[in-house]
Amino acid sequence: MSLALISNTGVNMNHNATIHDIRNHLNTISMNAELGKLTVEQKKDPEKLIKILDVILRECQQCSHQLTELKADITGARPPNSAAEK
Amino acid sequence: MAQVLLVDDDPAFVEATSELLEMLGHTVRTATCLEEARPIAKSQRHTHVILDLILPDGSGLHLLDELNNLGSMVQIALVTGHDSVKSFVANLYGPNIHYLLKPLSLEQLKVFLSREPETKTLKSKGKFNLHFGHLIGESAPMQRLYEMIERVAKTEANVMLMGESGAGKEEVASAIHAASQSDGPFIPVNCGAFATELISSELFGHEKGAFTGAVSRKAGVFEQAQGGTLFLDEVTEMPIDLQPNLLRALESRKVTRLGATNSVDIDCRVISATNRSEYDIAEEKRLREDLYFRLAVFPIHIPPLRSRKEDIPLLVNYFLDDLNQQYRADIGIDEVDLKRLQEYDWPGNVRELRHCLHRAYIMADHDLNVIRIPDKIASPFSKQDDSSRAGIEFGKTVEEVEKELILTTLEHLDGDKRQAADILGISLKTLYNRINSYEQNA
Repeated sequence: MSLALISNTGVNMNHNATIHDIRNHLNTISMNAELGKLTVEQKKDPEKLIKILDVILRECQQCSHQLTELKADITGARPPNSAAEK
Repeated sequence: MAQVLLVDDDPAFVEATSELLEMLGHTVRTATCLEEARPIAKSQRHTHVILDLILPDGSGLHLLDELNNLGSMVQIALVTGHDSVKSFVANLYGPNIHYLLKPLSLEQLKVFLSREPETKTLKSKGKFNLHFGHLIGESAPMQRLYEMIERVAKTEANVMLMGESGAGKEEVASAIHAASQSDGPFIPVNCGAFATELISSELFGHEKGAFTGAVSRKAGVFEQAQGGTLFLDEVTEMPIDLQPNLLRALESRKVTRLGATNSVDIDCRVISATNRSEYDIAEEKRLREDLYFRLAVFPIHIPPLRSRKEDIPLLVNYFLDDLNQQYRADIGIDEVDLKRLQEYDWPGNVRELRHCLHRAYIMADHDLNVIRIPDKIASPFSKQDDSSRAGIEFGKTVEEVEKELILTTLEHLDGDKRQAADILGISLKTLYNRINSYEQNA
């Protein structure tokens, strides 16, 4: 890995990309949670609510997976580039 | 309720957010990339745009530029993970841009959507007589253009627009669409920008799996323009071997998506445009003859700016007003500079004038509150004026020089004989006599 890609905070471009992806998952979780609240208030449709909660659970899993990758990158448990290659 | 355009490449976020906003009573249109967002932004009116900064085919800032150029009265929110982006973009795009920090909440969205679109701009545009909502100018060449637009708008005829670069072909196409009062959208595409191997897919669409990379079904531009207007800009740049497919679609009024077995009926007006002359189109075989006649049922020549210099003050005021709205300022132009703008020939036409004013606006003298026009107006892209190379050469007869002068003047004024006679200092009758004698001797 090029040293130029590592800032003095120890965060490199791969880390930034992973953080960006995690934010996107959180964004989707947040919007689906808001949609779920509104669905309960307005529609009282349990099937629709279950679908929304499934999306939230799926996004949580993806978030968790990417946090694991990020930790591995930072602690050097595996080569940092592998996150980008996935 | 708001008319929202939501542009983000994360389908799960787009789906949830659009559903959420629709439950709140707003109308939402979505796009996952710039290519999808551009035609929607141009063809539909929106009050609010929610825009991801990083999209698969470029930065959301490109769309911001285009919305600015459209003069849209729209509230824009950039969705970003860092508030550091905020100050950077505010410097570039002024105060009308808002920011939504990830992860978004319903409260953030509600606050943003409660912002009213700029009505001040609407009132301000009322100061100008915008013909068909798009065109500025009261000169005789523009009056003739308005009459043609009005006539053709009542029909379903295909129109071919011919005019120099920067003369406003897309604005005229939009004006025809507006005057037609059709229910469908206005879909502009640039035929010169398509990769050769993708032209058919862009025009006619494709089914999922029709070729490598066709991951989902896509409607072509003919289908997208259903009930409205399809604007094919730079149509003469389309490879000649692909033109039969376009001809077939125009003749049969049906298209078949790549990989599909059934055809789809199409119902839209086709407006095409080129900056080449009819002579060049035929001479250089830029278009098949049969396709030319299909496209150019009603050809319209857009007058170059130099043939309607009396419109320059109107255009200058319009563009300055637009810039003043954007930057919340009140900057004008002094008489001497306005005269200089009227004396220049504008080979790059209205586009060149607009860019020149924007440059001058940035350099404005804030003590006097006037723009500063540079000493040299010509842009590096302005084409060399052929007439400046014409001159008296040894060996020419007086008749030959006179003929060259008359024809150059007419060409310069887009064929306006009355104005040509005035400039040449001869009567209109004499001019007609000369033209007739040239035609007889040809």
